[in-house]
Amino acid sequence: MVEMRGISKKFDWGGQESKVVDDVSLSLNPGDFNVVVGPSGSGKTTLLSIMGLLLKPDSGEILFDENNVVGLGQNDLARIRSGKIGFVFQEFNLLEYLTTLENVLLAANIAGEKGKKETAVKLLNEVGLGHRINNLANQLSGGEKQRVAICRALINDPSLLLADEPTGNLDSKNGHEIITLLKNLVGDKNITSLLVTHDQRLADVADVLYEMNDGRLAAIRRKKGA
Amino acid sequence: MRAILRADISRKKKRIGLSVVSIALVITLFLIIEALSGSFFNSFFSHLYNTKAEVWVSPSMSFSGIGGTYTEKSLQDDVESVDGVASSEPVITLPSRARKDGIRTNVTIVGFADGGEYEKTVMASGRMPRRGNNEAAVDESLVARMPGLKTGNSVVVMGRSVKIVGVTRGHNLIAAPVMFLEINKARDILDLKSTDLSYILVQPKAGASGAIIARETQKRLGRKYRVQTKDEVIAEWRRQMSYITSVLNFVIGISFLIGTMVIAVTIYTSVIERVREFGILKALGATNWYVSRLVILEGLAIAVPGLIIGCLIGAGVALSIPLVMPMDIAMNAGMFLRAALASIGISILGSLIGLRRAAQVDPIIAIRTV
Repeated sequence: MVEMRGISKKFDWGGQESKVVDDVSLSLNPGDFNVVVGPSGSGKTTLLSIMGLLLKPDSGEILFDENNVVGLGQNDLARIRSGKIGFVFQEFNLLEYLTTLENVLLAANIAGEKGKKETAVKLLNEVGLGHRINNLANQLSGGEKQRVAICRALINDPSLLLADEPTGNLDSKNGHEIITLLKNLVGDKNITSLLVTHDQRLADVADVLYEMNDGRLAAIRRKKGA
Repeated sequence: MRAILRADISRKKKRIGLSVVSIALVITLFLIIEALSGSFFNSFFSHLYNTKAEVWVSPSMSFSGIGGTYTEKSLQDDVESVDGVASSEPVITLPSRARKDGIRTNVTIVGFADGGEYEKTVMASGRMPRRGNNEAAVDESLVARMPGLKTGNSVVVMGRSVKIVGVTRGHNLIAAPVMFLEINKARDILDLKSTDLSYILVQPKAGASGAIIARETQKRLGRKYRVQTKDEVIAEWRRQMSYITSVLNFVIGISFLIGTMVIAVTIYTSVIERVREFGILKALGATNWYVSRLVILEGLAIAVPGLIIGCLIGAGVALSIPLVMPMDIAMNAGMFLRAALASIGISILGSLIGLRRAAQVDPIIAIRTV
């Protein structure tokens, strides 16, 4: 279980303070496909960054396995990110000069995990890229890159999967495939997830749908059992 | 991590190659200077300490009379007419080459007066050469260089064969072992005039002061000559050596500074180009140490090949010096160890600015769209 309590974050825009996340509390259950929608500038990505321990909140708590991690130092936060959080970015963020397999194994290497090659190959097979493991990332299509990014996010068996506009740079067909893939993986592996998006198709398949407006978050739909 | 480093280096072959060449040049220079200074300094002082004359007289333009000749018939008579002088002896010192059984090596010919100061030289075996005989004594450092050389053998110098009658100890003058010849034999072999000399060694009478004799001799001979006590000669050489050492250390320092700057610029440029990449790594959970290791390894990827190439070229050049100059070069493991420490030091120092920049990269950069 991952939980946020009373999270707020302000930014200073040229001397003018702006509250981007305003007293947000959120509790995510494993296996649920949690999606946050909202207009640009509503604070979705900031919220995701805070949950991913990339940004420190001004106030509030983030609980991983009931431990508040907000006060931890940079290296401790980095270790939690590598071991417990999987990221999927809009820009894919693969290292273009590494192969598909090396990109997936990179996350394991960062986490200090060894002997993950078999797992990486298995994951790449699961997402239909078994035949591309030795291709450089810059030889892949956008959809393929995002699948590699998903495998990289899952290689360390994270308890939390975060995705920032995962279909933002994909065409309709690839976007649909990625949505289906993510949803299935989250359900099959019983992972806690949070995705922020503009994509209505993601909103449509969400188990729990949140809407963010002016830094405030509200659940607008829960699927039965979620 | 290895994959990142390998890929990163292969992308920047040219830039890293240039940096490797720079480090190789620094190490080459370092090794050559180390080899030269070690051989030159160590050997020269040992010879000075082994010379027991109290006063040295040499033409002003020569450097304590070493390595040159000067002709003036009346010089020795003038020196001997100074109060307190018991005896004086002319000495010839010139670099040359010796050959035996196909082995060639540099030697410093010292032509000395039979029965003079050099006659008292400490012998490892045999005796010093005598006037009228075709004889030579060699220093044991020459024996080390010509395996099998022993008393009774002949050695060829300037195309002339001389018989070895003794082996001396501690005369490795100007980085080449000394070969002692009786002065007339030396003049003959070196094709010098019968009045040629490099310097005069003066012995005071019992109870006379070397310092006073030196002062009086200097007055009599004027500025055309330099008259020094042995202590003054040693002090002067020490001073000269310290100037040379300072200049060489300055050159080494500057080359290290340049090497450090080359690595610093290469690494910093690399880090700047990879800010987003480091941000992604940090977002994926890389600690500052993980990212720092990438930067340090890139620095070492420049320093280690630079060190190996520099050692090969440096050793090659240094060991070739005796082929063109009358100098003996000795290299030892300590020089290579210092070169290794220097190159690792350069790479770490050069990486510092890049490391600092890499540590400052914010992982949030990964989540921003480009």
